[in-house]
Amino acid sequence: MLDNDFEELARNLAKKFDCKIKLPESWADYFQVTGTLTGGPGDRRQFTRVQFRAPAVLEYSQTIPILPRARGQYLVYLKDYSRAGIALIHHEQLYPREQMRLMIPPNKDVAINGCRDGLIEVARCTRIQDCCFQIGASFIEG
Amino acid sequence: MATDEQNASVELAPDSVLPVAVSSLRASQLNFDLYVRPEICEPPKLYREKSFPLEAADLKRLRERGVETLFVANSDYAAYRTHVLDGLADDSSLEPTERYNIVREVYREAFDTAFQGESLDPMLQFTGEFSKDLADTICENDIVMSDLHSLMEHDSGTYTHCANVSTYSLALAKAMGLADLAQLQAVATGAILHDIGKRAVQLSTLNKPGRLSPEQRAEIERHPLIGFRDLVLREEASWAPLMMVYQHHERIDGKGYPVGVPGKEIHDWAKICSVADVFHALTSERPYRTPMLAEEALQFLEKQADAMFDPETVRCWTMTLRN
Repeated sequence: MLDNDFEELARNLAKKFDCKIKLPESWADYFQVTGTLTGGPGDRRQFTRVQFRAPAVLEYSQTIPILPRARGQYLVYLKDYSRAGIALIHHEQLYPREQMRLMIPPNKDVAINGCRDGLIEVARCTRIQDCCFQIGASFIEG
Repeated sequence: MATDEQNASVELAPDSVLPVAVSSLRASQLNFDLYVRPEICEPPKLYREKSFPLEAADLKRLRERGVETLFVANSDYAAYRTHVLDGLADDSSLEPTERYNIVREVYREAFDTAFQGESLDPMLQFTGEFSKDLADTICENDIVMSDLHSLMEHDSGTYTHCANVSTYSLALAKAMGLADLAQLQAVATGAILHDIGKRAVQLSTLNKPGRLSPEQRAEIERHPLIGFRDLVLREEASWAPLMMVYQHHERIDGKGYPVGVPGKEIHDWAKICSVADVFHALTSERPYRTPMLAEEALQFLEKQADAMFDPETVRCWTMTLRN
Protein backbone atom coordinates (compact mmCIF):
# COMPACT_ATOMS: atom_id res chain seq x y z
CA MET A 1 0.00 0.00 0.00
CA LEU A 2 1.26 3.44 -0.93
CA ASP A 3 2.19 5.36 2.16
CA ASN A 4 1.14 9.03 2.12
CA ASP A 5 4.37 9.94 3.89
CA PHE A 6 6.27 8.41 1.00
CA GLU A 7 4.36 10.42 -1.54
CA GLU A 8 5.08 13.64 0.27
CA LEU A 9 8.71 12.73 0.84
CA ALA A 10 9.12 11.77 -2.81
CA ARG A 11 7.62 15.08 -3.91
CA ASN A 12 9.89 17.05 -1.59
CA LEU A 13 12.98 15.13 -2.66
CA ALA A 14 12.05 15.44 -6.31
CA LYS A 15 11.76 19.23 -5.91
CA LYS A 16 15.04 19.44 -4.06
CA PHE A 17 17.09 17.01 -6.12
CA ASP A 18 15.55 17.21 -9.58
CA CYS A 19 14.76 13.53 -10.20
CA LYS A 20 15.77 12.36 -13.66
CA ILE A 21 14.59 8.76 -13.38
CA LYS A 22 12.09 7.58 -16.00
CA LEU A 23 10.28 4.47 -14.81
CA PRO A 24 8.75 2.23 -17.49
CA GLU A 25 5.03 2.72 -17.97
CA SER A 26 4.46 -0.87 -16.91
CA TRP A 27 5.89 0.02 -13.51
CA ALA A 28 3.03 2.37 -12.64
CA ASP A 29 2.50 0.53 -9.36
CA TYR A 30 6.21 0.66 -8.50
CA PHE A 31 5.70 2.14 -5.02
CA GLN A 32 2.93 -0.29 -4.16
CA VAL A 33 4.86 -3.53 -4.54
CA THR A 34 5.48 -5.47 -1.32
CA GLY A 35 6.60 -8.97 -0.31
CA THR A 36 9.77 -11.03 -0.62
CA LEU A 37 11.81 -11.87 -3.72
CA THR A 38 13.11 -15.18 -4.97
CA GLY A 39 16.35 -15.36 -6.93
CA GLY A 40 16.65 -16.20 -10.62
CA PRO A 41 19.13 -18.62 -12.25
CA GLY A 42 22.66 -18.13 -11.00
CA ASP A 43 21.53 -15.89 -8.15
CA ARG A 44 24.20 -16.16 -5.48
CA ARG A 45 22.60 -13.95 -2.88
CA GLN A 46 22.85 -15.38 0.61
CA PHE A 47 19.91 -13.59 2.19
CA THR A 48 16.23 -13.16 1.46
CA ARG A 49 15.37 -9.89 -0.24
CA VAL A 50 12.39 -7.84 0.85
CA GLN A 51 10.62 -5.39 -1.42
CA PHE A 52 11.14 -1.86 -0.16
CA ARG A 53 9.79 0.81 -2.45
CA ALA A 54 10.74 4.29 -1.31
CA PRO A 55 12.62 7.36 -2.49
CA ALA A 56 16.09 7.93 -1.08
CA VAL A 57 19.10 10.12 -1.73
CA LEU A 58 22.37 8.96 -3.26
CA GLU A 59 25.43 11.15 -2.86
CA TYR A 60 28.72 10.71 -4.65
CA SER A 61 31.71 12.51 -6.02
CA GLN A 62 34.93 10.81 -7.19
CA THR A 63 34.18 7.10 -6.78
CA ILE A 64 36.99 5.25 -8.59
CA PRO A 65 40.24 6.86 -9.72
CA ILE A 66 39.83 6.40 -13.48
CA LEU A 67 36.21 7.55 -13.68
CA PRO A 68 35.67 11.30 -13.29
CA ARG A 69 32.39 12.03 -11.49
CA ALA A 70 30.90 15.40 -10.62
CA ARG A 71 29.90 15.76 -6.98
CA GLY A 72 26.14 15.46 -6.68
CA GLN A 73 23.10 14.33 -4.75
CA TYR A 74 20.44 12.40 -6.64
CA LEU A 75 16.97 11.18 -5.87
CA VAL A 76 16.84 7.40 -6.34
CA TYR A 77 14.08 4.85 -5.83
CA LEU A 78 14.83 2.00 -3.48
CA LYS A 79 13.62 -1.37 -4.74
CA ASP A 80 14.48 -4.12 -2.30
CA TYR A 81 16.98 -4.94 0.42
CA SER A 82 18.52 -7.82 2.33
CA ARG A 83 20.92 -8.07 5.25
CA ALA A 84 23.84 -7.68 2.85
CA GLY A 85 22.75 -5.11 0.32
CA ILE A 86 20.16 -3.06 -1.46
CA ALA A 87 18.75 -2.60 -4.96
CA LEU A 88 17.77 0.82 -6.24
CA ILE A 89 16.77 2.62 -9.42
CA HIS A 90 18.95 5.46 -10.67
CA HIS A 91 18.88 7.62 -13.79
CA GLU A 92 22.48 6.89 -14.86
CA GLN A 93 24.76 3.91 -15.18
CA LEU A 94 26.98 3.15 -12.20
CA TYR A 95 29.95 0.80 -12.33
CA PRO A 96 31.02 -2.09 -10.09
CA ARG A 97 33.28 -1.03 -7.21
CA GLU A 98 31.99 2.55 -7.10
CA GLN A 99 31.30 3.57 -3.51
CA MET A 100 28.74 6.17 -2.49
CA ARG A 101 26.59 7.38 0.37
CA LEU A 102 22.94 6.35 0.51
CA MET A 103 20.47 8.22 2.72
CA ILE A 104 17.31 6.30 3.53
CA PRO A 105 14.02 8.01 4.52
CA PRO A 106 13.63 8.16 8.30
CA ASN A 107 10.19 6.63 8.52
CA LYS A 108 10.95 3.06 7.46
CA ASP A 109 12.38 0.08 9.20
CA VAL A 110 15.50 -0.32 7.08
CA ALA A 111 19.03 0.65 8.03
CA ILE A 112 22.58 0.47 6.66
CA ASN A 113 24.71 -0.96 9.40
CA GLY A 114 22.18 0.35 11.92
CA CYS A 115 22.08 3.89 10.49
CA ARG A 116 19.75 5.97 8.31
CA ASP A 117 22.62 6.63 5.96
CA GLY A 118 25.80 4.81 5.10
CA LEU A 119 28.21 3.67 2.43
CA ILE A 120 27.29 1.22 -0.29
CA GLU A 121 29.43 -0.36 -3.04
CA VAL A 122 27.98 -1.03 -6.47
CA ALA A 123 28.04 -4.73 -7.34
CA ARG A 124 26.08 -4.72 -10.60
CA CYS A 125 24.07 -2.47 -12.86
CA THR A 126 21.36 -3.34 -15.38
CA ARG A 127 19.71 -0.97 -17.82
CA ILE A 128 15.90 -1.06 -17.76
CA GLN A 129 15.44 1.76 -20.30
CA ASP A 130 16.76 5.27 -20.93
CA CYS A 131 17.31 7.08 -17.61
CA CYS A 132 16.43 3.94 -15.64
CA PHE A 133 19.16 1.67 -14.32
CA GLN A 134 18.77 -0.96 -11.63
CA ILE A 135 21.73 -0.91 -9.28
CA GLY A 136 22.64 -3.77 -6.94
CA ALA A 137 24.89 -2.66 -4.10
CA SER A 138 26.32 -4.10 -0.94
CA PHE A 139 26.49 -2.36 2.41
CA ILE A 140 30.02 -1.59 3.48
CA GLU A 141 31.41 -0.82 6.90
CA GLY A 142 32.69 2.61 7.71
CA MET B 1 79.88 -24.52 -15.27
CA ALA B 2 76.89 -26.81 -15.40
CA THR B 3 75.86 -28.74 -18.49
CA ASP B 4 73.13 -31.29 -19.02
CA GLU B 5 75.50 -33.90 -17.65
CA GLN B 6 76.17 -31.88 -14.48
CA ASN B 7 72.77 -30.71 -13.42
CA ALA B 8 72.08 -32.40 -10.14
CA SER B 9 73.06 -29.77 -7.62
CA VAL B 10 71.12 -26.58 -8.48
CA GLU B 11 67.37 -26.65 -7.89
CA LEU B 12 64.65 -24.02 -7.86
CA ALA B 13 61.22 -24.00 -6.27
CA PRO B 14 58.62 -25.46 -8.68
CA ASP B 15 56.66 -22.20 -8.96
CA SER B 16 59.72 -20.05 -9.63
CA VAL B 17 60.20 -21.13 -13.25
CA LEU B 18 58.28 -20.74 -16.50
CA PRO B 19 58.26 -23.23 -19.37
CA VAL B 20 59.80 -22.31 -22.72
CA ALA B 21 59.59 -24.21 -26.01
CA VAL B 22 62.89 -25.77 -27.12
CA SER B 23 61.94 -24.78 -30.67
CA SER B 24 62.11 -21.11 -29.66
CA LEU B 25 65.80 -21.32 -28.62
CA ARG B 26 68.71 -20.38 -30.89
CA ALA B 27 72.20 -21.79 -30.58
CA SER B 28 74.11 -18.92 -28.96
CA GLN B 29 75.58 -17.57 -25.75
CA LEU B 30 72.56 -17.30 -23.47
CA ASN B 31 72.20 -14.81 -20.66
CA PHE B 32 69.75 -16.92 -18.71
CA ASP B 33 69.96 -20.32 -17.08
CA LEU B 34 67.96 -23.23 -18.50
CA TYR B 35 66.34 -25.87 -16.31
CA VAL B 36 64.84 -29.29 -16.89
CA ARG B 37 61.99 -30.87 -15.00
CA PRO B 38 61.98 -34.66 -15.42
CA GLU B 39 58.63 -34.95 -13.59
CA ILE B 40 56.07 -32.19 -13.15
CA CYS B 41 56.05 -32.72 -9.39
CA GLU B 42 59.84 -32.49 -9.09
CA PRO B 43 61.74 -29.26 -8.58
CA PRO B 44 63.44 -27.89 -11.70
CA LYS B 45 67.12 -28.82 -12.06
CA LEU B 46 69.78 -26.76 -13.80
CA TYR B 47 70.36 -27.94 -17.37
CA ARG B 48 72.55 -25.19 -18.81
CA GLU B 49 74.22 -22.37 -16.91
CA LYS B 50 74.08 -18.99 -18.65
CA SER B 51 77.86 -18.73 -19.07
CA PHE B 52 77.94 -21.98 -21.03
CA PRO B 53 76.94 -21.55 -24.71
CA LEU B 54 74.01 -23.45 -26.12
CA GLU B 55 75.22 -25.28 -29.25
CA ALA B 56 73.26 -26.45 -32.26
CA ALA B 57 74.24 -29.99 -31.26
CA ASP B 58 72.59 -29.49 -27.84
CA LEU B 59 69.34 -28.45 -29.47
CA LYS B 60 69.52 -31.40 -31.85
CA ARG B 61 70.09 -33.78 -28.94
CA LEU B 62 67.13 -32.36 -27.01
CA ARG B 63 64.88 -32.81 -30.02
CA GLU B 64 66.10 -36.38 -30.53
CA ARG B 65 65.26 -37.13 -26.91
CA GLY B 66 61.77 -35.75 -27.42
CA VAL B 67 62.34 -32.85 -25.00
CA GLU B 68 60.05 -30.06 -26.18
CA THR B 69 60.06 -27.88 -23.08
CA LEU B 70 62.76 -26.42 -20.85
CA PHE B 71 62.32 -23.89 -18.06
CA VAL B 72 63.73 -20.51 -17.14
CA ALA B 73 63.55 -18.75 -13.79
CA ASN B 74 60.73 -16.19 -13.55
CA SER B 75 63.35 -13.50 -13.06
CA ASP B 76 65.07 -14.54 -16.31
CA TYR B 77 61.95 -14.68 -18.47
CA ALA B 78 62.47 -11.20 -19.90
CA ALA B 79 66.01 -12.21 -20.92
CA TYR B 80 64.62 -15.33 -22.61
CA ARG B 81 62.07 -13.30 -24.53
CA THR B 82 64.76 -10.83 -25.58
CA HIS B 83 66.80 -13.79 -26.82
CA VAL B 84 63.92 -14.90 -29.04
CA LEU B 85 62.90 -11.44 -30.21
CA ASP B 86 66.52 -10.42 -30.94
CA GLY B 87 66.75 -13.52 -33.06
CA LEU B 88 63.80 -12.23 -35.04
CA ALA B 89 65.41 -8.83 -35.50
CA ASP B 90 68.58 -10.45 -36.81
CA ASP B 91 66.77 -12.72 -39.23
CA SER B 92 65.59 -10.78 -42.25
CA SER B 93 64.66 -13.94 -44.12
CA LEU B 94 61.51 -14.43 -42.03
CA GLU B 95 58.16 -13.68 -43.59
CA PRO B 96 55.96 -11.26 -41.58
CA THR B 97 53.53 -14.03 -40.78
CA GLU B 98 56.36 -16.31 -39.53
CA ARG B 99 57.57 -13.42 -37.40
CA TYR B 100 54.07 -13.01 -35.97
CA ASN B 101 53.81 -16.70 -35.14
CA ILE B 102 57.13 -16.67 -33.29
CA VAL B 103 56.09 -13.62 -31.22
CA ARG B 104 52.86 -15.35 -30.45
CA GLU B 105 54.54 -18.61 -29.41
CA VAL B 106 57.08 -16.93 -27.17
CA TYR B 107 54.24 -15.70 -24.97
CA ARG B 108 52.10 -18.84 -24.88
CA GLU B 109 53.53 -20.47 -21.78
CA ALA B 110 53.74 -17.21 -19.89
CA PHE B 111 50.07 -16.53 -20.64
CA ASP B 112 48.89 -19.96 -19.53
CA THR B 113 50.84 -19.75 -16.29
CA ALA B 114 49.73 -16.19 -15.57
CA PHE B 115 46.08 -16.83 -16.48
CA GLN B 116 45.86 -19.77 -14.09
CA GLY B 117 47.63 -18.01 -11.21
CA GLU B 118 45.79 -16.57 -8.24
CA SER B 119 47.40 -13.15 -8.43
CA LEU B 120 46.66 -10.79 -11.31
CA ASP B 121 50.14 -9.25 -11.19
CA PRO B 122 51.86 -11.74 -13.52
CA MET B 123 48.94 -11.50 -15.95
CA LEU B 124 49.18 -7.74 -16.13
CA GLN B 125 52.96 -7.83 -16.48
CA PHE B 126 52.53 -10.35 -19.30
CA THR B 127 49.85 -8.23 -20.95
CA GLY B 128 52.02 -5.11 -21.07
CA GLU B 129 54.88 -6.92 -22.78
CA PHE B 130 52.71 -8.99 -25.11
CA SER B 131 50.64 -6.09 -26.39
CA LYS B 132 53.76 -4.01 -27.10
CA ASP B 133 55.41 -6.80 -29.11
CA LEU B 134 52.17 -7.70 -30.88
CA ALA B 135 51.49 -4.09 -31.89
CA ASP B 136 55.11 -3.68 -33.06
CA THR B 137 54.96 -6.89 -35.10
CA ILE B 138 51.61 -6.15 -36.75
CA CYS B 139 52.32 -2.48 -37.44
CA GLU B 140 55.99 -2.56 -38.43
CA ASN B 141 55.60 -5.51 -40.77
CA ASP B 142 52.40 -4.29 -42.40
CA ILE B 143 50.86 -7.73 -42.10
CA VAL B 144 47.96 -8.52 -44.41
CA MET B 145 45.21 -9.87 -42.19
CA SER B 146 43.73 -12.22 -44.78
CA ASP B 147 47.16 -13.90 -45.21
CA LEU B 148 47.69 -14.12 -41.49
CA HIS B 149 44.25 -15.53 -40.71
CA SER B 150 44.86 -18.62 -42.80
CA LEU B 151 48.12 -19.32 -40.95
CA MET B 152 46.92 -18.68 -37.41
CA GLU B 153 45.93 -21.44 -35.04
CA HIS B 154 42.19 -21.70 -34.46
CA ASP B 155 41.83 -24.09 -31.53
CA SER B 156 39.61 -23.42 -28.55
CA GLY B 157 42.40 -22.91 -26.01
CA THR B 158 42.31 -19.79 -23.87
CA TYR B 159 45.64 -18.47 -25.13
CA THR B 160 44.70 -19.02 -28.76
CA HIS B 161 41.40 -17.25 -28.19
CA CYS B 162 42.89 -14.27 -26.38
CA ALA B 163 45.87 -13.95 -28.74
CA ASN B 164 43.61 -14.18 -31.81
CA VAL B 165 41.08 -11.69 -30.46
CA SER B 166 43.97 -9.38 -29.61
CA THR B 167 45.42 -9.73 -33.11
CA TYR B 168 42.04 -9.18 -34.80
CA SER B 169 41.20 -6.22 -32.55
CA LEU B 170 44.52 -4.60 -33.32
CA ALA B 171 44.12 -5.09 -37.07
CA LEU B 172 40.53 -3.84 -36.92
CA ALA B 173 41.40 -0.77 -34.85
CA LYS B 174 44.14 0.02 -37.36
CA ALA B 175 41.71 -0.44 -40.26
CA MET B 176 39.28 1.93 -38.52
CA GLY B 177 41.90 4.64 -38.50
CA LEU B 178 43.63 4.29 -35.14
CA ALA B 179 47.25 5.09 -35.94
CA ASP B 180 48.92 5.90 -32.63
CA LEU B 181 51.11 2.97 -31.56
CA ALA B 182 50.47 3.51 -27.85
CA GLN B 183 46.73 3.40 -28.48
CA LEU B 184 47.06 0.29 -30.62
CA GLN B 185 48.99 -1.33 -27.78
CA ALA B 186 46.15 -0.36 -25.44
CA VAL B 187 43.66 -2.03 -27.81
CA ALA B 188 45.77 -5.19 -27.73
CA THR B 189 45.90 -4.97 -23.93
CA GLY B 190 42.13 -4.71 -23.59
CA ALA B 191 41.63 -7.57 -26.02
CA ILE B 192 44.08 -9.94 -24.35
CA LEU B 193 42.34 -9.23 -21.03
CA HIS B 194 38.78 -9.32 -22.35
CA ASP B 195 38.01 -12.74 -20.87
CA ILE B 196 40.05 -12.35 -17.66
CA GLY B 197 36.83 -12.74 -15.66
CA LYS B 198 36.57 -16.34 -16.88
CA ARG B 199 39.25 -17.21 -14.35
CA ALA B 200 36.38 -17.23 -11.86
CA VAL B 201 34.18 -19.57 -13.91
CA GLN B 202 34.39 -23.32 -13.26
CA LEU B 203 36.32 -25.15 -15.99
CA SER B 204 33.59 -27.78 -16.21
CA THR B 205 31.14 -25.02 -17.15
CA LEU B 206 33.50 -23.29 -19.59
CA ASN B 207 34.34 -26.53 -21.39
CA LYS B 208 30.88 -28.10 -21.29
CA PRO B 209 30.17 -29.45 -24.78
CA GLY B 210 26.37 -29.55 -24.51
CA ARG B 211 23.67 -27.03 -23.71
CA LEU B 212 24.27 -24.94 -20.59
CA SER B 213 21.77 -24.89 -17.76
CA PRO B 214 20.33 -21.43 -16.86
CA GLU B 215 22.59 -21.40 -13.78
CA GLN B 216 25.69 -22.21 -15.84
CA ARG B 217 24.78 -19.57 -18.43
CA ALA B 218 24.33 -17.02 -15.65
CA GLU B 219 27.72 -18.00 -14.24
CA ILE B 220 29.44 -17.53 -17.60
CA GLU B 221 27.65 -14.25 -18.21
CA ARG B 222 29.19 -12.83 -15.05
CA HIS B 223 32.69 -12.84 -16.57
CA PRO B 224 32.70 -9.27 -18.00
CA LEU B 225 31.55 -7.92 -14.65
CA ILE B 226 34.12 -9.96 -12.72
CA GLY B 227 36.89 -8.88 -15.09
CA PHE B 228 35.95 -5.22 -14.70
CA ARG B 229 35.69 -5.53 -10.92
CA ASP B 230 39.10 -7.20 -10.67
CA LEU B 231 40.86 -4.60 -12.82
CA VAL B 232 39.17 -1.28 -12.16
CA LEU B 233 41.04 -0.30 -9.01
CA ARG B 234 44.47 -1.32 -10.30
CA GLU B 235 47.00 1.45 -10.75
CA GLU B 236 47.70 0.45 -14.34
CA ALA B 237 44.00 0.41 -15.32
CA SER B 238 42.81 2.75 -18.07
CA TRP B 239 39.25 3.29 -19.18
CA ALA B 240 39.14 2.24 -22.84
CA PRO B 241 40.76 -1.21 -22.42
CA LEU B 242 38.63 -1.71 -19.33
CA MET B 243 35.49 -1.08 -21.34
CA MET B 244 36.62 -3.79 -23.77
CA VAL B 245 36.60 -6.15 -20.78
CA TYR B 246 33.24 -4.90 -19.45
CA GLN B 247 31.27 -4.33 -22.65
CA HIS B 248 32.42 -6.94 -25.18
CA HIS B 249 29.14 -8.86 -24.78
CA GLU B 250 26.92 -5.80 -25.05
CA ARG B 251 24.83 -5.58 -28.22
CA ILE B 252 23.89 -2.63 -30.40
CA ASP B 253 20.18 -3.36 -29.78
CA GLY B 254 20.67 -3.19 -26.01
CA LYS B 255 20.01 -6.91 -25.47
CA GLY B 256 23.53 -7.84 -24.39
CA TYR B 257 25.08 -8.18 -20.97
CA PRO B 258 26.11 -7.32 -18.26
CA VAL B 259 24.25 -3.98 -18.39
CA GLY B 260 22.19 -4.07 -21.59
CA VAL B 261 23.27 -0.65 -22.87
CA PRO B 262 22.48 0.24 -26.49
CA GLY B 263 25.04 1.04 -29.19
CA LYS B 264 25.44 4.73 -28.38
CA GLU B 265 26.58 3.82 -24.87
CA ILE B 266 29.03 1.10 -25.93
CA HIS B 267 32.66 2.18 -26.17
CA ASP B 268 34.10 2.04 -29.72
CA TRP B 269 36.88 -0.29 -28.60
CA ALA B 270 34.34 -2.65 -27.04
CA LYS B 271 32.53 -2.75 -30.40
CA ILE B 272 35.83 -3.76 -32.00
CA CYS B 273 36.45 -6.43 -29.38
CA SER B 274 32.92 -7.78 -29.79
CA VAL B 275 33.38 -8.34 -33.54
CA ALA B 276 36.84 -9.88 -33.04
CA ASP B 277 35.58 -12.12 -30.23
CA VAL B 278 32.65 -13.54 -32.17
CA PHE B 279 34.67 -13.90 -35.36
CA HIS B 280 37.26 -16.00 -33.53
CA ALA B 281 34.56 -18.02 -31.76
CA LEU B 282 32.89 -18.88 -35.07
CA THR B 283 36.09 -19.78 -36.91
CA SER B 284 37.71 -21.84 -34.16
CA GLU B 285 37.50 -25.53 -33.36
CA ARG B 286 34.95 -26.27 -30.63
CA PRO B 287 34.19 -29.62 -29.00
CA TYR B 288 30.57 -29.35 -30.12
CA ARG B 289 30.85 -28.06 -33.70
CA THR B 290 33.13 -27.70 -36.68
CA PRO B 291 34.57 -24.23 -37.33
CA MET B 292 32.99 -21.93 -39.89
CA LEU B 293 35.01 -20.79 -42.85
CA ALA B 294 36.13 -17.16 -42.60
CA GLU B 295 33.69 -16.11 -45.32
CA GLU B 296 30.77 -17.82 -43.56
CA ALA B 297 31.68 -16.05 -40.33
CA LEU B 298 31.86 -12.70 -42.14
CA GLN B 299 28.40 -13.30 -43.57
CA PHE B 300 27.10 -14.04 -40.08
CA LEU B 301 28.57 -10.77 -38.79
CA GLU B 302 27.00 -8.85 -41.67
CA LYS B 303 23.63 -10.43 -40.97
CA GLN B 304 23.84 -9.48 -37.30
CA ALA B 305 25.08 -5.92 -37.88
CA ASP B 306 22.54 -3.47 -36.39
CA ALA B 307 21.37 -6.07 -33.86
CA MET B 308 24.50 -7.50 -32.27
CA PHE B 309 27.31 -5.50 -33.81
CA ASP B 310 28.11 -1.99 -34.89
CA PRO B 311 27.59 -1.94 -38.70
CA GLU B 312 30.59 0.31 -39.38
CA THR B 313 32.88 -1.96 -37.36
CA VAL B 314 31.59 -5.02 -39.23
CA ARG B 315 32.04 -3.28 -42.57
CA CYS B 316 35.65 -2.46 -41.74
CA TRP B 317 36.36 -6.01 -40.61
CA THR B 318 34.85 -7.63 -43.69
CA MET B 319 36.86 -5.29 -45.93
CA THR B 320 40.04 -6.10 -43.98
CA LEU B 321 39.52 -9.85 -44.31
CA ARG B 322 38.26 -9.90 -47.89
CA ASN B 323 41.19 -7.83 -49.08
